[in-house]
Amino acid sequence: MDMMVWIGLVNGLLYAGLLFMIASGFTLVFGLMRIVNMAHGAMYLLAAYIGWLVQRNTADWFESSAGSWILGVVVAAVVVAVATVALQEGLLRWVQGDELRETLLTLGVAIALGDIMHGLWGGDHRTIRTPDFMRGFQELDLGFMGGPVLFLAKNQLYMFGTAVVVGILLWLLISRTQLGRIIRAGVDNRAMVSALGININRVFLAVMILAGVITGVSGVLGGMIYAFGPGIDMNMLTLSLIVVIVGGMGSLGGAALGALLVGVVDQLTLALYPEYPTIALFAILIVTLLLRPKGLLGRVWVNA
Amino acid sequence: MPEPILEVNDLHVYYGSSHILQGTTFAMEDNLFTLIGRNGMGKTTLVKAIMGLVPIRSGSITFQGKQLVGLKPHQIARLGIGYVPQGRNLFPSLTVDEHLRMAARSRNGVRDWTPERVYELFPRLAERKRQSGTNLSGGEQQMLAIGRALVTNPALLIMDEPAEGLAPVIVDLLIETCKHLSDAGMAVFLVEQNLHLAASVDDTAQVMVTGRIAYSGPYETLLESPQMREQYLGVGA
Repeated sequence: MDMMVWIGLVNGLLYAGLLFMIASGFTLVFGLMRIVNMAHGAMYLLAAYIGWLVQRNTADWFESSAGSWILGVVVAAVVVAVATVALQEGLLRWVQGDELRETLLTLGVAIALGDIMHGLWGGDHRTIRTPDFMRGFQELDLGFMGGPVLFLAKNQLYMFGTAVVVGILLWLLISRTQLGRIIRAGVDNRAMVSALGININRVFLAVMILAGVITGVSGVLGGMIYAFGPGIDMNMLTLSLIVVIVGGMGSLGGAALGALLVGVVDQLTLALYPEYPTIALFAILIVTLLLRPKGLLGRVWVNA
Repeated sequence: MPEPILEVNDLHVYYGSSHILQGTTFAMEDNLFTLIGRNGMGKTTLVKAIMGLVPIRSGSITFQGKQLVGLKPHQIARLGIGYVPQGRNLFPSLTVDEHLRMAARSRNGVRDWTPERVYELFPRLAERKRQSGTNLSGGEQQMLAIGRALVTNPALLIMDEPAEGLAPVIVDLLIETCKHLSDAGMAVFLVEQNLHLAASVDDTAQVMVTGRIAYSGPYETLLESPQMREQYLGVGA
């Protein structure tokens, strides 16, 4: 196989890690609350800026370069979680159940937030400095599959590892805990969950916080590898939408599968036919919707 | 006279511009209450109104003396009302055991009903613990819906047409279960379309016609009078 194919495949797999993290929060919120949170991409960008700001301003507080980076991850996770909760409690709660208004409201927030960030931090594209422990390259010998020897950036491997850990933790949460049972039941039928004595608004809040924390972490990890600036919010929103629609809205496994497909196709086309990645992404979307309108792992919704 | 378990007074509910409940008024005074009526008369809407699942235009609903109008469904359920909806509304993503575990909760320290006790009551569910709730037979699904309501340890169990679409032998089991629960001290509010089935559970009938209780009295009278049956239930001899 051609060298570029291998590079495309491996880069796609690594990119899929980031896409999965971003899409997992998006799909959880949609699955439970039926809210298509158009501000999700803006939250990712906000997290990246916060990670960047914290890193720049606190670098001399720590001996090691890891300190300000980790502080950036924590602050970004907290700020995005708080912003998401504010969006839910301050705005969305008042139009609950009206899906069109919910979507338009989050779109308005996305546009406003995008412009505010542009105003505050300018039009330059930036990246978060990779702390020393993640610098350098890792050799990957694909000879056992008849492939070449590749050198992968360590920070990308860390990002991928984090995505795997996030995926496993989310899966355990959803499949093994009481909160997970309630979330799954809520995805099936919210009204019935309430009628069993469970305060669904509190469950919404828990999911919003969870989604905010994951988005915060992915913003700082992603911002370290892929440059960010104005427009990236809408890019990430589009990618999350494609991942989640292809995978099946509301399904965590679907988000993983969708991320893998979108990541690999995107990076493979980028490596082989650099002019066409956007067309390839929308081609996946169109083909999926034609063959499986509910997405690969999607289900029919119970309306309530 | 003791306080009624459930009292509904002049209740009005609309769906869009159609007036579904038109001043429903009744009091549930003993442990068993059977509401019958034809399709589209407002039985399910009444049950949903009690559970807080549809907006109420005016009127009052009191449960053990507490006003329910204005409360959210989870607050109403937590006061001690268990709900077995029409069509069962099981969760396709949950197994049998998960249904019972997600709903299980004590009420005022009372924990008479646990998932284990539900399995004792319906041994067939115990054999299917790990299966998805929607892979069960109709009867088993109904048992699960009842079990899911029981593990919330309610004082009042509302069942909306639980016999719908079930085989006769399962219906018999259901009737037995209703009687057993109400004898054991749980208040049971049963909504039913089938006159004979309801009559085999209870002595006193409540018949709903276009959003009001049109007849409240012995089942015997209804069973003996074709005119009354025609008038209230629209069924011939």
